[in-house]
Amino acid sequence: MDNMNRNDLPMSEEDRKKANTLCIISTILLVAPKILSCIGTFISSTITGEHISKFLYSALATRMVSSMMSALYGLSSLCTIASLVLMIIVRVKYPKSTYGKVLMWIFIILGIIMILAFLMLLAFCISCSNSLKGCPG
Amino acid sequence: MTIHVSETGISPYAICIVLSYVIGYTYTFVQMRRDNVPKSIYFYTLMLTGFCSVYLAVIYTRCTSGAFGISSMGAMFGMILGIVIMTYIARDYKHSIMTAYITALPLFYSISKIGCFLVGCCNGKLYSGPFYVEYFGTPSHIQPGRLFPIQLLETMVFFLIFCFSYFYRKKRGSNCVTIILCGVSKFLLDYLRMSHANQIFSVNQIFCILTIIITLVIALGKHTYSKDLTNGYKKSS
Repeated sequence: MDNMNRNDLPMSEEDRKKANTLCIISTILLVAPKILSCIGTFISSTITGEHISKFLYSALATRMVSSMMSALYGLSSLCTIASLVLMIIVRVKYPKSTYGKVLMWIFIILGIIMILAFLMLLAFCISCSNSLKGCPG
Repeated sequence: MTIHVSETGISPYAICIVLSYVIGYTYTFVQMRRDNVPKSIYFYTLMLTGFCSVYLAVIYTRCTSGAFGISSMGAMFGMILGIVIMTYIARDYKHSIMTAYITALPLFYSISKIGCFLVGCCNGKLYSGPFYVEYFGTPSHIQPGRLFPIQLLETMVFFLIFCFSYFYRKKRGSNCVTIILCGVSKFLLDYLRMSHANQIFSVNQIFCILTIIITLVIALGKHTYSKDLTNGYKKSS
């Protein structure tokens, strides 16, 4: 027993529960904003579509929906960072957590997809890679 | 010196951004492995700082200019945010993470500025003296006339800061000195940019001032804390 180091010891039930709780919160933070963004995009396209002339104060409604969508997209990215932070906390403090390992691989795959998408964008969308209107330094 | 900016082919700006990340992260990997930081901790730090830097690079541009683009200042702030978060998670390796990444910050920035130089963005004021640069091409951001090569100057200055911080990285307070040097340099160099016309302080300069103040407060706080600890130890012994 004395020769076993910390990494060889199985996870205690309490640690497992804490790890799983953090992983569940991380998953919710990763997925929920994306779902809300999709719902929001659907609602905004419905409101600002053909029905716009039927709404009173349609300009105000469009602006409100547009502001809400911007806030939602910003929140989505913040939630993704928070989700990533929680996953890293689980992997550092509870390295034996299987849920944590799965989440890590999800993030790795998402990261690879994002990098590949960025590289393809560079290769095939020259006007996008040259878009430098907002390069304040 | 004249540079023709083409709209065909892969943008050298994008290549330099990617190169700055590759070289910067390679440097931090070597430094952290020298300090026996586990590869897993390095990997998590890379993920977190990478994501935060890209996120803040886009948000900074969106907030300051209203357009879509990426900003080196935003990326640096994002990286610092990622480093700070990671030092709270992996406290055992706090010093190694901080030293490796803060030393590398000017390196990231200096390489990315080469990209700006090659495509003519973040350009300097009108200037006809030695080493002026003139851009030709169809992209809308191209500024006509002879310009000061501020991007090259920033590359050189920040590379020198990187060299200084690399050689003094083991000295106490070197991280704070590096950040203050970066802030002061960026503040002063911003006066030579075309976008600084008709302003007392630009948005970048305001953020530089805030960064310097926060760093000084943290440095003084640490100094006072360690002094109190030493005095308390002396009294008890």
